Amino acid sequence: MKKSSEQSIHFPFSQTVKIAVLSLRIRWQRSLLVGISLVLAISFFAYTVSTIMFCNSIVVSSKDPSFPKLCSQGTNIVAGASSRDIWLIAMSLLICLAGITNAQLMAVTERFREIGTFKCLGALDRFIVNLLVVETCIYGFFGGVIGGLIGIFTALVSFWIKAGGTNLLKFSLSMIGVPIMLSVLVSTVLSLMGVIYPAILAARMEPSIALKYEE
Amino acid sequence: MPNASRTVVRLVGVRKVFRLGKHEVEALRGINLEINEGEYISIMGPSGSGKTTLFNIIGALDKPTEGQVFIDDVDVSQLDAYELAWLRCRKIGYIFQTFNLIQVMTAIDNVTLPMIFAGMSRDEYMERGMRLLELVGLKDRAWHRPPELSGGQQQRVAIARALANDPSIILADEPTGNLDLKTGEEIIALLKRLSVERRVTIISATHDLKMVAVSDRVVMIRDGRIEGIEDKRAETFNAGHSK
Repeated sequence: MKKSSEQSIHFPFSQTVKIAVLSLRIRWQRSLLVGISLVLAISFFAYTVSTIMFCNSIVVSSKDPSFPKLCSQGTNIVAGASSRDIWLIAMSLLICLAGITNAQLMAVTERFREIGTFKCLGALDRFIVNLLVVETCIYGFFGGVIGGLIGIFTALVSFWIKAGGTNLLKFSLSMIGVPIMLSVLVSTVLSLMGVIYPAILAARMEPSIALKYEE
Repeated sequence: MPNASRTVVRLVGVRKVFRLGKHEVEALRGINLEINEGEYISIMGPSGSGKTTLFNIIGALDKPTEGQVFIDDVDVSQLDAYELAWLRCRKIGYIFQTFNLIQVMTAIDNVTLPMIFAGMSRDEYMERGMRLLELVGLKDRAWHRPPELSGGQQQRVAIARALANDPSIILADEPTGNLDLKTGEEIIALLKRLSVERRVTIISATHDLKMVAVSDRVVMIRDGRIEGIEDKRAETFNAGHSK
């Protein structure tokens, strides 16, 4: 029985993605709540990374006329990231991780009954984990892009005010591309770290227990 | 007669103990029961008598603390996760009081979900899904999501979903509990029709006397024990002969 049943129960990945997208679209208020905490943390991360990169570009060419101007305004310009920057980034990511885990735990708890129903219909634990992971990757990605763009835009505006618009023209495309890519990566990894515990908890639950929960 | 039929469900000395903090609650205290193919069984009893626990154990949704549950002569306690999923997908159809449809999916998506788990092709599951929705009179509501359907319509979708993979057993936990009288009667008639026409074994935990009236046997449960089994077919048979 084992071998044949193993072959019989499967669920195409495209269907998992379809259900995940449907779920995010229809539960958009919940997605927005988790998304906002993610976007805020990622935008802070992107702002800090961008500012460090902008400052570094000026340090490299220290003959830049804006260098003394920025120093006189109290901007902390050092080569690379200062320990304060690293500490700020680490704290923001930690808070973000706690926020995401909490939001995910709540979101998954709300869906225990749905998860129990999936298991009644023949879903394996793996399907439940896959579904939650796909959902998380989707808003991790979009949270990273949106948060990254907000952070970079804020950093650009801040830099423009402090150093003048002409400096912005010197920036290369990589100075925007790198923070965006880093933001997407960090956002997705953080979201996955936040969802993995609730997902395993939900997947391992006996269907009879999961079905008892009120939606 | 029932004795000529094959046994599809057999419970041997089933006990279920729940641990609530420091206390242990014995929900089932040694249940022995045999259910035959094509039977329509109602499990009755007051709240807290162990109906739902028995329902969950028969449906392989929970494991007994002691004893054995055989479905088609297979001991459910010996099955691994894959085999349990296969059993739930292919052998058993579930109907719940609260319908338990996936809220984000349309009626047709809900009905076809077990067929996708069973590995059917898209053409196959869409055609079969539509036929099942037609059977329960909801073909024109196929593309509506549960919040856009009435309680009775949602329960019909749940029945169509329960039939998705031609299960030999349908487990119904208070299927008329959240429905008005007329809709409840329609659902009972539909389940009875399935039992007669398709030889599906219907096992229902219920308080509804109309459900009891159409049953072949009624299992009375109290304090986790079977208090009595009423064979309605024998009554009908005797009544027919005494005339």
